[in-house]
Amino acid sequence: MKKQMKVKGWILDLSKIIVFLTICVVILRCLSPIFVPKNNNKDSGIKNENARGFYAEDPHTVDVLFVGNSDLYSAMNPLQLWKEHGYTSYVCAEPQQNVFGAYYMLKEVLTCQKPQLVVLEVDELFSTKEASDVDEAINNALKYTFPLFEYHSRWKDLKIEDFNDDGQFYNTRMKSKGYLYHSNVEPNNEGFTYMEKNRKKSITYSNKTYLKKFIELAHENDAEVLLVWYPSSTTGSNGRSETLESLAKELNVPYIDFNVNQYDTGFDWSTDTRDGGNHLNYSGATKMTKFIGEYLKENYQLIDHRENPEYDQWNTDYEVFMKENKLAY
Amino acid sequence: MEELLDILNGLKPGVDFENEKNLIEDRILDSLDVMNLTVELNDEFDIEITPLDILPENFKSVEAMYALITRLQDEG
Amino acid sequence: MGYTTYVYLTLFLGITFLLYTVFPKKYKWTVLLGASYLYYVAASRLWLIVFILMTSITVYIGAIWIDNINELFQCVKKVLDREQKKAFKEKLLWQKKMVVGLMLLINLGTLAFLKYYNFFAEVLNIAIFDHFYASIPALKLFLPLGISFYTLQAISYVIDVYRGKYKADRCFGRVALFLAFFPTIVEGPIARYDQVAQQLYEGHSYNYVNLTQGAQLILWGMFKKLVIADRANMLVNHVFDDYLNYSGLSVVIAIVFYTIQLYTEFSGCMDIVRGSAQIFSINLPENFKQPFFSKSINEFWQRWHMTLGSWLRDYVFYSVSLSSFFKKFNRYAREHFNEYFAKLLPATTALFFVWICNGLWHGASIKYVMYGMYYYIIMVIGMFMEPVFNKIMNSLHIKKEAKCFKLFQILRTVLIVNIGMLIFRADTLSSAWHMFFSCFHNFQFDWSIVGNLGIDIQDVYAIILGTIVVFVVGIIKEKGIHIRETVANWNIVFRWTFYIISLFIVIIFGAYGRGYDIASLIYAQF
Repeated sequence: MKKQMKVKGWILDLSKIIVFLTICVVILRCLSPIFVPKNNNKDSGIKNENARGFYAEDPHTVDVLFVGNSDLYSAMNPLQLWKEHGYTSYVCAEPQQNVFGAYYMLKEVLTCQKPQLVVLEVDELFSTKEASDVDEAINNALKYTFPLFEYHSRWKDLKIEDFNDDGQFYNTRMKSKGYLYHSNVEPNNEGFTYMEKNRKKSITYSNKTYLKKFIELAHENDAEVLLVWYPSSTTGSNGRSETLESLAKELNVPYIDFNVNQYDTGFDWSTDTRDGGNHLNYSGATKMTKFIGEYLKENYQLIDHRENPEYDQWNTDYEVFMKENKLAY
Repeated sequence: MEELLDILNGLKPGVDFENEKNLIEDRILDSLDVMNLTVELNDEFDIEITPLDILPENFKSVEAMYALITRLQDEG
Repeated sequence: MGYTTYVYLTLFLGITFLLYTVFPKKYKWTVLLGASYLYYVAASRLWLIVFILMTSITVYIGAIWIDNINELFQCVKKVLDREQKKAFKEKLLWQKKMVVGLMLLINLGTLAFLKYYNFFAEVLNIAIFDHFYASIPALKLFLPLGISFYTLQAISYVIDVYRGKYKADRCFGRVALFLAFFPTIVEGPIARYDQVAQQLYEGHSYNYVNLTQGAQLILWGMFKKLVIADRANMLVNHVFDDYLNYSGLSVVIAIVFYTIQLYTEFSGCMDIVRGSAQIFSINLPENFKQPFFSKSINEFWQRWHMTLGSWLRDYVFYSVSLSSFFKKFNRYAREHFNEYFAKLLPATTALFFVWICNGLWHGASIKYVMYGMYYYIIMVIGMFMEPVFNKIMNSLHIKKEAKCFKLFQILRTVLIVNIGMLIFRADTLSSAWHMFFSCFHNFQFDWSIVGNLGIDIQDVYAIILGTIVVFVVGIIKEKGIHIRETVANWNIVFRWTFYIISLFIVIIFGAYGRGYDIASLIYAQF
């Protein structure tokens, strides 16, 4: 009899907790649309507007998607890829992105684009602690499911429009397709000696799990996956390159490691970095992009859209980019 | 008892030790006072009040202190 | 795995709670022990566990050793006569003192070395060695998580056993859990063995009231930390990191906001920690009791960081002032100085040790020592000048019980504490000095500058509103009202609305994520 009462008590308590949490979830769902930015530019409050210009590209026109951190948006120039091969691409790179952010970024892109190839910059796979990574996984999942967690600070900027049910209208274009132009030079005088450094080379279990999820998500959407590591003196090491090499083999995904092999691109640490080895500059990006273009041509069946009038906007974008940055073309 | 009251009044004149029953809780005596008091009591009554004995209940009133002193004297 | 991270609040607490509930009563404590060591490894580095293990083992053995010495005495004394008993007792006392000394040497010594080696090396270098063109090298030393806290707990355990307060614990698991318990390991509270060890060990069955009230306490702590402290942190950093470019009202605001930040962060963290323990029906000691309602600095330190204050009182102050050396010093003072001086001298000397320890415990630098000395000097002046102050007040006919006078005392205490906080937060003593004087420079009541101190004006309003909420809650608590219990008696619609609004205030107005820097726990570096 007493045990029956006890069990009844538990069930009552548990139901109270479940009902309470459900109410919270419902409120989260209702509040989130109010806080979500109504356009994909900085003024509207969107995060990393540079990475989110893909919303304003015509749907299903981006064939190659690049995802990664700040190393990526310094090293890959989609407009150059367009000029040289007619491939359409976008660089969805965010500063200090982690693999969880990359996974949800891919989900975002897949709502309006259908890339044939997804390229992941693997620099972001190296982190410090397993516990922090688990926390980041939860953090990103929460932010994706309930955007209130991502955009709660917009409480300072809420306007009447936010309360209307018009939804988001993302039409801000990023003409340089996610690439950030930098021409200044600050050489890395130690060259590739950083590869000898003894940096923590293991990848946490959480990161590996989400890398696999990322690849799976791409495959489910008929996209192939390619892994890339651009030259980075602040994070590269031989140990890490080995880890990535075997991981790529295990996951059956091709992997290009520029820290180990520069493939006759003419890459030069004295001219190609803007901050002493952390990020590349335009000169470095040109060489990297050229190689990637040729690599894609040889290994994938991407379509050259240069003769297609529907893609004429890309030519305009290219010209504007070159003019704005005072480059010869 | 007399000597105890003398010491208390010398230490903190103006306090009605005969009637106050919550010296510690009412903040009439703080840890500095207790320390000074302990030193004097140890000296005067030839006992050894250790930190273990410094509890609010032993110092909350004159009666409590007297009981403490008597107990320590008996234990020798 | 900080206390405000998702992984701690949901995964770690959640799974530990489930396991604790499911395990049989006799073994529930093993869940807490396992969780505590797991927490230690996850929040720190694996190999640093060696230090807390060493402390646990040495202190466990040391206490039993002392107990054995006592037991030996009990057995042997029956066959001895009075003279022999006294001699034997003295010899054993000396032995016990040696054991305590050994414990202090190993544990306090480790803490002292890891934390203060570089500081003392620098001081010695400047004072002596530089003159001989030599120098003691600086070492790159790791500080194990929580060492400043668990070491104090360990020492209190050994000294209590030495004093005979309770017998040594023969169960190693309980001692280890007492020292490593995950809610207390990062920032305290510094618990005593007899307050907490049995609670940790006995295993409590699931209790809905403790589960929910513990969660509510955690939410309150999150409010204080995320909405107020982390927000204020941005303004404080903005001014303090660039202090040469600020003067007048800006500096005053930065100092006041730092006081607000430190209080809401530390007490907020304590709420999260106590709430976490309450979920397991474990009651940890409080560290704060509305400190800003104090009428004197003395009282302030009995309401701020209470467990540290009482530890220093019980293990430094009383140990020093009741020692035989001090007895002699007291006698000497009584014979050679006038009565007034003789009364105060021993007390102030003992206090000196307390405040040196307080200052040093907070940090290994001259600045922190001066922080301790600042409060020491103020207290000593207060003590010596007491009769003078009393005379002044009598002649001005000011009554101590008058409300205005009490208000004056409170404001005076707040002012003194804020200056202390300036010393605590400034980079160095000289920057504190500079900032103090710059307050008077260019001082104008131009409140518009508040929008230029690193955060938006709306954020400043949020801090002020939040502080007012904390103030009101403080008043309610001062009156002795237990808020969570009171709310639990409201009807379900009202109280659930209250909980949900509180939760969403933290989610929406918390200074986390996009646009806010992550503030690390100030006290966790100890």
